[in-house]
Amino acid sequence: MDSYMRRLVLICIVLFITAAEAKADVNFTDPHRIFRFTVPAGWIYQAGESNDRLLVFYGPDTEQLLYIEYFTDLDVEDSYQFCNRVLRHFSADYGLPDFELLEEPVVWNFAGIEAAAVEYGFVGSKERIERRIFVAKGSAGLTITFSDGRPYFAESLDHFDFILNSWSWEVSQ
Amino acid sequence: MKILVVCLVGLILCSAVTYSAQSSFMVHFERAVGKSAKEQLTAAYGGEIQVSLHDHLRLQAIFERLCSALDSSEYQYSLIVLASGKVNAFSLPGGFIFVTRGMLKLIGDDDQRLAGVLAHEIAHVEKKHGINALMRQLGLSVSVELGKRVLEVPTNQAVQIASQALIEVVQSGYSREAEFEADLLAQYYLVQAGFDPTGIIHVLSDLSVYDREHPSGEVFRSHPHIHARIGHLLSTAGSFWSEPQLVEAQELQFSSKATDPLGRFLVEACASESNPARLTLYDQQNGQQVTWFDPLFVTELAFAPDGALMATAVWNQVSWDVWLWNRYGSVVERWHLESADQIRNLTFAPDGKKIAYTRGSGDQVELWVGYVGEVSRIKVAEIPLVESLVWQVGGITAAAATGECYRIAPPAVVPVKTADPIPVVIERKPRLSPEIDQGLKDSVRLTRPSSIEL
Repeated sequence: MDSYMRRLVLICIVLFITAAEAKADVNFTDPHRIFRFTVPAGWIYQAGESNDRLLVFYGPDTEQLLYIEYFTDLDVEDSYQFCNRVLRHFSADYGLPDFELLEEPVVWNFAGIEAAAVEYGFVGSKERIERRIFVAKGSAGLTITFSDGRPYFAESLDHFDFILNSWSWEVSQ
Repeated sequence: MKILVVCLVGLILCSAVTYSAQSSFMVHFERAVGKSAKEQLTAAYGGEIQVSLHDHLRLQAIFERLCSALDSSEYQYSLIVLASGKVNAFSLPGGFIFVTRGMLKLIGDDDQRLAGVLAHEIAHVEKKHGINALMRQLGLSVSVELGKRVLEVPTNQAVQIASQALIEVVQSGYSREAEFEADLLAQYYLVQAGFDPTGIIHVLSDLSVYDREHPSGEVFRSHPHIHARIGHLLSTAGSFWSEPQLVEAQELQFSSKATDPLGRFLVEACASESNPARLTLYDQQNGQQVTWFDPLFVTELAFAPDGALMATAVWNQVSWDVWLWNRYGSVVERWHLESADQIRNLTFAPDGKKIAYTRGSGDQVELWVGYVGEVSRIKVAEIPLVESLVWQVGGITAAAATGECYRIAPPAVVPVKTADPIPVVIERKPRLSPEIDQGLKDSVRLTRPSSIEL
C-alpha cells in the first residue's frame, strides 16, 4: 500500500470515528456553569439561535425542540409561584394562541432543587405541546422546555426524561 | 336671523349649565363619537390584531406607565393594535389610541420610540385636538351644547354624522399648531413617566426616512410638518435636563487626555505651524503612527467606554463637526454641527450612546449632548467656560475655568419591565436545503429552497 492509500484509509477511519461520536450521547455543561446534562444522540445545539440567556437544541425528528432560558431578576417566592404567574399570561386572551392546559402544575424534587412542571398545548405555526420545568432560586431561575408537534409529543417524551434524569447542578443548592 | 337666535339661545343655555355638567357631557359625547369612529377605522386598517405575548406585555407596560403619569385625565384610555402594514398611529376623542403593525415594525424594540408615539397620541386626546377639529369642521359647537340640554345624551344620528367627519379629520392630519402642541405635551408626559424625551424625535426622524424611501406620501399626509416638528422638539428637549448645580469636585476624576480603554491607541499632539492643536493616534500594536486623521484638523478625541468608537472634533474649513470613527479607521457618523465656535471637551456617556461637548468661547459656553446613531443634538445648559467634562451615571459634571464644578443631570429614564417574568416560547425553524434540479448533460442545478420567503 503506497503512502497515498495509507493516508486515504487513515482519513476514512478518522471520519468514521468522528461520525460515530456525533451519534453518541454527549455531556453538556452550560456556559454559565450552572448545570450539566447528557444530550441524547441526534440532538444538536443550535448556536445561531442561542444567546447568553437562551440555549436551544434541535432533536433528530422534525419538530423536536429543547430550550432553556435563564432569568436573573425574578421576583417570585418559589418555583410553583413562578410557574403559576407565567401560566396566567400564557392562558390569557393575549397569551398563547389556543392555549390548553394539559397537566396542572406539579412540584417535585428536580436533582435536589424544588421545581414545578406543567404541560400545555397551543397553536403556533403548527399544533404543539410543551412540557416546561420552572426552577426559581432567589432572584435567579430557569425554565427548561421540551416541545414537539402534538402528534409526536408522547413518543418523544423519552428524550426529555433522559435529559432530566441526567441533569445535575454545577452550583451549590 | 334664525341662526343668530339659535346661537344666542345656545349661549344663554350654556352659561346656565355648570362647568362639571358640561365637562361630563362632552366627555360622554367624545367617547360616543370616538367609539363610533373606532369601529370604522379599525375595519379600514384591517381589523385589530393580537400581538405576541411579549409584545403585548411590553406595549401595555409602556402604555400604562404613560397613562398613570397624566396629572389628571377625564378619559379612560385603551390601546388598539391594527393589522395594517401602513406606518401610522392616531387617536380618537375619548381615549382610543391606535398603532399599526407597520408602525410597530418601524419602531422595532426601542421602548423610547414606542413611548414617544403613544405619548404624542395621548396628548392629542388630552388637548381635545380631534373633537375641536371636528367641531370646527361641522360647526357643531352651538348645536351640541344645545342638544345636550335638550336631549341629555347625544342621539345616534348626531354621533354617526360626527364620527364620519371625525374619520376625515383624523386621516387628513391635524394642524401644524396642534401637532406642535401635542409634541411638547408628549415630551412632558415622557419625562413624567420615566422615558427619554428624545424618543419622539427619533421616531419622527424614522418617519422622515421612511417617507423618503417609500414615496407614497402616506406618512406625510397623516403626520405633516415632520421636519419643523423635529426642530421644535430638539429645541425643547434640553429643558428637561436639570439646571447646572454647583458641586464638590473632590471625588471626580477629570482627564484632559483621552485614553483608549482597550490600550492600543495613544493620543498624541501633532502640532504644526498651520495646525497648532492637531491630534493624532499612535498604534502601539503595530508600532506606528495612524494616518487616518492626516488630511484633517482634529483637535479633540474621546473614546467610547467600550473602546468601539472614537469621537473627534474636526474643523471642515468652514465650521466644526463631530466625526465618529470605528477602530478600523472608518468614519461611521459625521455630525454636521455647523458650529463656528470650536467643539471642545468631547465626553461619552457611560452607556456609550450619547456624547457631551461644549460649544462657544468667552466666559459662557453651551453644553450640548448628541445621540450616537440618532439625529438628536440638544443644548442642555449654558455654563461658565469649561476646562473638562466627566459624564457619570448621575449626569455630566463640568469643571469650569474658574475652579468651580457644575453638575447637569438628564431626565431619569426608567427601563421598561413587565410585572411578571415571561419566558420565551419558540418554535423550530425549518431546515433549509437547496433544491436539486437535474439538468441536461449530467449537470446539477441547485436552487433556492421554495420555502424561503424573501
